[in-house]
Amino acid sequence: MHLRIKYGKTREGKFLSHLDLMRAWERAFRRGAIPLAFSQGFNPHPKISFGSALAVGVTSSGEYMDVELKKFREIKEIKATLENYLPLGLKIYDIVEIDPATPSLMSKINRAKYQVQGKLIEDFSATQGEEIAHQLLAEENIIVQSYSKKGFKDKNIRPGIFALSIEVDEINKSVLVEFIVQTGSQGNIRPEEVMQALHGLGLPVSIDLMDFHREGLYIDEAGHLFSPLS
Amino acid sequence: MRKYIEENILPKVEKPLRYLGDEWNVVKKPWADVRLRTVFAFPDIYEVGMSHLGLSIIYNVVNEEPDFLMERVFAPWVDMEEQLKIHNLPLFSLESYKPLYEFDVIGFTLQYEMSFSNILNMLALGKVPLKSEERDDNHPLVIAGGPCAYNPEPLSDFIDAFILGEGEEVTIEVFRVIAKNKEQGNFSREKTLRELAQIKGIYIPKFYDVEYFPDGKIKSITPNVPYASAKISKRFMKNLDEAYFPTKPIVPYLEVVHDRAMLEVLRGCTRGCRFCQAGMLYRPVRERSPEVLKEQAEELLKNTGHNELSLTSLSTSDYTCVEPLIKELLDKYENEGVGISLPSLRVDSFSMGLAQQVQRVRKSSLTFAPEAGTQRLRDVINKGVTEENLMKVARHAFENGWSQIKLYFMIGLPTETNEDLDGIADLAYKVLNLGDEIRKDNGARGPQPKVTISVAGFVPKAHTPFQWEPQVNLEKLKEKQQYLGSKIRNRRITYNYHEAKLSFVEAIFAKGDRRLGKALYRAWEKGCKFDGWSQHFKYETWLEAIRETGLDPEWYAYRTLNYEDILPWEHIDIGVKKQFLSKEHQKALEIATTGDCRFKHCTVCGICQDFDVALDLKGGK
Repeated sequence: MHLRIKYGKTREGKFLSHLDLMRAWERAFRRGAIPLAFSQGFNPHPKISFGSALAVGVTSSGEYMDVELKKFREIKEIKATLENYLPLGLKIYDIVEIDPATPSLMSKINRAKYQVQGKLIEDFSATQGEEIAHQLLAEENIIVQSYSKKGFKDKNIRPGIFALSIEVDEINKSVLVEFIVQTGSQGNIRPEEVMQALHGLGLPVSIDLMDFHREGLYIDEAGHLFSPLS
Repeated sequence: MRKYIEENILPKVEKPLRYLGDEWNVVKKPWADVRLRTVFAFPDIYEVGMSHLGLSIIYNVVNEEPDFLMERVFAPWVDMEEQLKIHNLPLFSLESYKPLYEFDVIGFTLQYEMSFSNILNMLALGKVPLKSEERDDNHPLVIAGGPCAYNPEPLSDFIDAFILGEGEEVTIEVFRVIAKNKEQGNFSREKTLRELAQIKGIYIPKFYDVEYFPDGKIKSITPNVPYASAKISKRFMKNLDEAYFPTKPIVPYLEVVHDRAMLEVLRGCTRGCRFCQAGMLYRPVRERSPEVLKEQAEELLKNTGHNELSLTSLSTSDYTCVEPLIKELLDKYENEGVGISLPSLRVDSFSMGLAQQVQRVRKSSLTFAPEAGTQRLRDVINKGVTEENLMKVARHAFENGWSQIKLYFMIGLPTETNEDLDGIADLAYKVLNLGDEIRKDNGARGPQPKVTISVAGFVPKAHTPFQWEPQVNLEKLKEKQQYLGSKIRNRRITYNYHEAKLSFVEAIFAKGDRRLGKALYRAWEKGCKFDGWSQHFKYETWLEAIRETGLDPEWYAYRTLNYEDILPWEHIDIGVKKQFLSKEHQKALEIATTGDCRFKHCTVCGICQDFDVALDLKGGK
């Protein structure tokens, strides 16, 4: 039986690395006695595959994983069991049974939607926020310093940004930035890179104190966004 | 406090999950619901502490009591310490984020001498006065247990009460006394300590006076109050089947050093290796029944979701029921992808049958400890293992698909010569050559065999037959390390050795007396912490600290003791008699071996004669 699970990482779980997350899921299945299927070979691994890894420190309400079970179980029962045995920090939204031939999450997911929220450290109006959003989208190239194992290098993130809006709450002096970016095998835009660009354009925030949330992962087909569950 | 730390501090430290405390099976009790609030303090990082079975046992046995709560605190890594200081926050417990100074009791575990500086650092960060005499009736009681409590003297300035021996029962007894005193109002440390001194296994250092001769040796150790007994005997569990065992241990989010479910198959080891402290401290051997273990395994796996079950003990292949137990466990769990691991194996009891069982699910690495390179020296240390034993298990291992074997050795052992070091290199080559031969016979398929030898410097420990022996001096130890290195010239033999300077400081404290407390305090003041972590170990600072307090580091580590000398741990009774240890020491020098009482006659070490306990083997003698 093949399952696709939509799940989220809450505030309590945001410091779990991808490896921690994989262990946490395997253990929850085991505690719940849901019969995972295992790979053959020297070191058997449960057949669980994930969509796109989420950075440490980011919460999410739209992550996906595919799981293969050895035996059939009712979806409702699986969901209820997992909810009982998941540690704090992980949350299940939906489970569907999928055709074993369904293409992998990894091969299909290519968009991620983020919401980044935080305090404004200087006076800033809603109009100014809209202007910066327009300004960013009007550029053809936006070069940021991207950090990788080899060190810092220049990266043009503009082709990977598909939508962006800035909502300023003037009363509470806070801002919510929402954007859709490229993710997956075709290239990956990190949310802090987008924030770095906005900061460069004059958005008065301190990026490392903001809350980063991934609202969801999507599949873009000819300009339309689809959920991996559909 | 928790919200503030989560938002402002955790994003800035390397591994925030070390400080979060929301793990599966964590126990969080409301503070108002209990009579006594305690915290288990592990003086190393989370990943090390959470791999420790003792923590799991004590944490759970205490929390099973509705009247008490026990939380956890680990040594914060240096980045976290820096953040705490920047934000002016005290070190806090993981469960409730309460500062250490708010607890009634702080209990440290003493696993290793080189974690002592972390104890001081944790108390300081937790805003608790370091010295026992500086703490008043409003401060927490600071207690400690674990193997290093058997020579507690270097810590006697800082610890109010030591618990000697196995802690399942005595910890609860201690907490009951403290809770009662807390409830009576006008809590008095003095009165509480007086009552604690009357519990068997409790050592309160301030109730003892130590006098010295002009040459620095100890003249006497005597109680200075009528209610402190001249000798303090260790506590032990008579029957392991009836002892508490935690089957709902905490499951860390973070990958810890031993990331698996732990099943304790036996306690104690009577092989009688003469350097080994654990082998003397935890006598006699007491096994758990296979029936009890199978039930515990079932519950452990169900409650944790671990995919690996480790059969732990000082020497698991010596468990009299090990083969049938492993077979049954694997028959039951291998389809669920659960592996079994055996962390401590002896070459003379590891069989073909075991090798084949263990590799059914998942191959863990194989480690054996011949400890010395020649039969002569192995007889001196009473290791009781032969080259033939080693070659036989190496053959089993290579034939069963293992390609890597790890071997542990010690250098600087009493009577050691270069010939013994040559022997270490020879053994490594012989094992490697055997692996090559077997691989050739199998058509040269698979990875090439590899051998790792890990070589530790010998540190004489209290309560062992070698307690009277000096440590080899630092220069000599380094020479030995280099000599051995020069004998190993094969890229498929990896040679690891321990930092000799660390072994030297370890030796000072392992056999140290209470005068060293000042040196420890001074070292902490000068910034010593995480000494077991090579990047933080400050050798020069340690030596300065010891010398500044008027003590001679070399006197502590390099001095040969006489049988008549009063030892700093003379008042601590582990059940094994001093006469047994001195006889064993003499036999070592005569290259005479002593058998294991499990397989041969009783060695009259004293434990079963003087203490109400007996050898307990479930598979028969």
